Amino acid sequence: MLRHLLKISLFVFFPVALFAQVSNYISSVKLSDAKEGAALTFKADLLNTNDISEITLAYRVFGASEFVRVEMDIWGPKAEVTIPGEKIKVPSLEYYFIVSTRNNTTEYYPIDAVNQNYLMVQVQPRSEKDDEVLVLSPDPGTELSADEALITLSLLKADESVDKTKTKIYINGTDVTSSALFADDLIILAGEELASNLKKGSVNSMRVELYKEDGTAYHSLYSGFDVTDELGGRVEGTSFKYFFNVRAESRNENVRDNNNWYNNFSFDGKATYGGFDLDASVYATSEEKGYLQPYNRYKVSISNEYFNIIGGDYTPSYQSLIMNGKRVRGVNGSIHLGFFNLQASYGEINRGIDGSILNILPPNSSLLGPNLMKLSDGSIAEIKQGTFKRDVLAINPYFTAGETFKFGLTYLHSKDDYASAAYTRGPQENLVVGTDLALNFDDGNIQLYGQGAFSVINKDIATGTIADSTIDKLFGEGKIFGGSSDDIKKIKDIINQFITFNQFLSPLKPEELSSLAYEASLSLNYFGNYLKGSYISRGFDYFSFGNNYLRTDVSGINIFDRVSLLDNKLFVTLGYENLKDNRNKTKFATTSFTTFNASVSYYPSFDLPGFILSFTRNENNNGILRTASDSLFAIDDYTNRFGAQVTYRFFAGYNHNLSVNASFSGRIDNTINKFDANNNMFGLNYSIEWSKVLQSSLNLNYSSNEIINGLSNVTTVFNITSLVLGSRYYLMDNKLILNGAVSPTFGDIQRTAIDATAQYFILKNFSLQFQFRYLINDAVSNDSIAGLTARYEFR
Amino acid sequence: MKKYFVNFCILSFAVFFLSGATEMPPAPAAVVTKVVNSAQYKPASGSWTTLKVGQALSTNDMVKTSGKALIVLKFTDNSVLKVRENSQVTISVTKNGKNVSKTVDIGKGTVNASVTKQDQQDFKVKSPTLVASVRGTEFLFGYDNDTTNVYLMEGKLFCEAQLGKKDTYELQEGMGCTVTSDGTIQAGEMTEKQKQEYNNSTKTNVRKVILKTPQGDLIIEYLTD
Repeated sequence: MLRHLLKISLFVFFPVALFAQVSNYISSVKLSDAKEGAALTFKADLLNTNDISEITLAYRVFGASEFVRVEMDIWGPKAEVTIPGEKIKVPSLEYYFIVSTRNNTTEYYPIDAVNQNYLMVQVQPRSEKDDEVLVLSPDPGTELSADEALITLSLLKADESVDKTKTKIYINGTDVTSSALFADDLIILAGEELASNLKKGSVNSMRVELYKEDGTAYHSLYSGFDVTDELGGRVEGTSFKYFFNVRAESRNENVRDNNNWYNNFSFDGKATYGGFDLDASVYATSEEKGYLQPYNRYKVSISNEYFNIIGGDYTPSYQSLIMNGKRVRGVNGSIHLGFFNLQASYGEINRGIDGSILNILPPNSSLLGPNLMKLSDGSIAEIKQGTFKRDVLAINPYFTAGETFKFGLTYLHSKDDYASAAYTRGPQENLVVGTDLALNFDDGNIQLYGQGAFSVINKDIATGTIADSTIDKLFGEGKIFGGSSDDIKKIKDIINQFITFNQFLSPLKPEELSSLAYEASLSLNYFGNYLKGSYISRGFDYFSFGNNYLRTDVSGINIFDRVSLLDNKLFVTLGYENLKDNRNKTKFATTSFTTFNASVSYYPSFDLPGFILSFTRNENNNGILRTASDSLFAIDDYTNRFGAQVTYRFFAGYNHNLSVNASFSGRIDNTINKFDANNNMFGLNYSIEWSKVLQSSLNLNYSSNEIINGLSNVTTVFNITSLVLGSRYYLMDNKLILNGAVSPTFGDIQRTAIDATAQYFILKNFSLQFQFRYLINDAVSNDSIAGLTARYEFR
Repeated sequence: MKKYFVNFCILSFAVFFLSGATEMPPAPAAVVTKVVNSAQYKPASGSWTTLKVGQALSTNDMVKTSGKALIVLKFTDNSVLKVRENSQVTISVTKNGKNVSKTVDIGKGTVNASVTKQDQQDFKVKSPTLVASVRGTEFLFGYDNDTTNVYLMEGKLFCEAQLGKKDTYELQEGMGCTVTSDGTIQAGEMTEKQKQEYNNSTKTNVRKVILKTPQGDLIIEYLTD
């Protein structure tokens, strides 16, 4: 009885909160294990999805000052994105989310990311000890069949100090060691307990913990593998096999007294036929509206060893200067022939949406201004801009020789369809050509990478190509521009084959290379020292519709050095970056952005706490003195930031997982504006696995921000404290799963969120889930969200 | 003192003989990760039984396949051996620290081997007419009717005929050889047909086509990558 009461009280007071902060749009964020070289997946649970138009993840590895932005895929109340493994580096990665709303406002998560209070995840190093555990099956990159579930490990290469019989194995967090067969170097896992802990149709995690003879921890290996469910259907008389799952949700949101119903449906299917694999996915939602960018998603793909064709929504990856993190709705294809390979994409990156008239202005009003437009009847109107349908074509032939050599050429052409949106100005066209080269030597210990791209953009193609008669009026002897009109016409005829030629074409002087971007890097990895030097240079005119987020008008160096000591347990990292704007001398002052980073990170054996201590200093200076006549334009500030993070997973009667982080930063502005700022942040994440059926967590975040206006001597203070108490409870032999959370927020934003979820498996492959969220707001009316989801897995 | 010495000798003899009597079985050196259709297993001292996925194999254990059958087994150093249809194989393994010396003795049939680079010096494949010391990582080895055929896709393979003239030859990548009972080795570049044969030997996934006929179902099984 007492045990039961304890469980109930724990359920009420401690839930599942993985990571949560105050936000109007994101309720929690989940990350996969952050390990160097392994892909990292971010999943965000969303609120008020009706108001969200786009979510972007911004991240940067330690040592970089520039955040890389990637658009997330939104699937109903969730958004997801995966960063490739080669981007994930020890010791840490900072990130935040940018939520763009349909009202053209922007919110950050965490809400004070604007004050440089970012989220941080500690990246575990890849250890040489990983090689001491050989995963014999499943083979890397292959899928494990749920029907014939078998995991075999070999400890042949394990250190002599390891007691192989003490090895522990966890599948998806569950200890399955008791069902393993130990036979000298071999560990064999099979049978019902393994099968019951596998998640079919998704990535499963495995953790292998090695211990020394005295029982102290030696090393732990993390590994992931896919599991397929072989129990699919089959078309009789053929080798066509398939399986699928469907999900349907109906949700009611009452936010700020606005009541909305949302219904969505998703389908995911896979099939094989001979050597061909087919994939299909559909997400259809009632939020899909013709006057908004697409919410529905669909994708069909067919692939074999030599080619891959995808129809529908897909985010292709080309050289990063040209196309990266951009969803294309259309056709994507690739051919892999060994030395010669080709990938191409054709489709739409923006939907055409009509604008609208806000006001009809008096006759003869000025047309100057982006939101003013002359209508077909001659009147002048103030408009709310729509969006043109934007098509893109990208082609990338590339040549490879194993993993040693890769050389590619990339062509991108993108153009707005002027007829696709009424009351909308400024259809544009973009052309980018580029090349990239990668050389890897000595098993990747020497890596050389370089890429370059040149862009041309036409910022208004509404008037089409400039007429020959106009050229004759403007060019020639005694005309405004002089020169030869015939030469201009010849140039026009050549350029017009690629992009619309008129007065809105940029760059106007290609020879100044203001639209050229290039970068190169060299990394060396020897004697436990990883050294990387890179140089970037991007002109202010460089622009690619395939990567809108690229920082332009910048050039400079970045040097990163990481030394690993104590058998990859201790890492000392130093980074230096110096970037300058005004590459093409178009500004009257050049600003220098200097960043210095240093960190010490310690990863002892997995049952001891690991920590990171870091220091970052940013200096920005454009050389204008505060005493100069143009001192209002002066930039002269520096920010010092100290950070610490401790993570600790331990067993003290139960499995505990603890993470504590703190950061303190101060900005000093030496200009006459004296905009100083101080930010302090503290975070605590603590979860306990009381048993196989009960888990709970505690999440506390405190953020204190102070912005000082030295001119007016006014200090603005913004403090938030948020607490999340949650738990998950499995009942009725895992047929019923209960989740609950209470999340009060104090300080300058005050509210309390109460979450409850119940999922019941009516059949092994059919479940119903009820989800409820209630927000008690301060000063405004309370919000509520309730939804019912049905899931069915065909088997 | 003498009494203690006699007792010590008796105890030593007892320990010696008892330890021999309770000798530990040889440690497993490989595990079966895939079985297609009917395959059998015979421990060093035992009789033939049905082979199942997950079976650990020790030195001198034997496996055999019938028609349309296939076994994939992995050694503890992650080397892979695919035993094709109508084959019989004995594995011998000697562990030396963190390395294992592996010998695959082919009584009949065909194997495809993929050997981890760091351990390739310790891998031999034998038939009654040939011993091949592996310097390569990917090859096909078949024995039938006193003739051994080897196709090498990657690396090098040192071949020693066991009978008659006892020819030796070092195969280079992309070459194949035939060894007959008179001890001669005929080597040359692999033909397209031999390359195709090699490629087929790497396939382990079974696909089925079921043809419905008035007389019943006709099932066609074939292997893919």
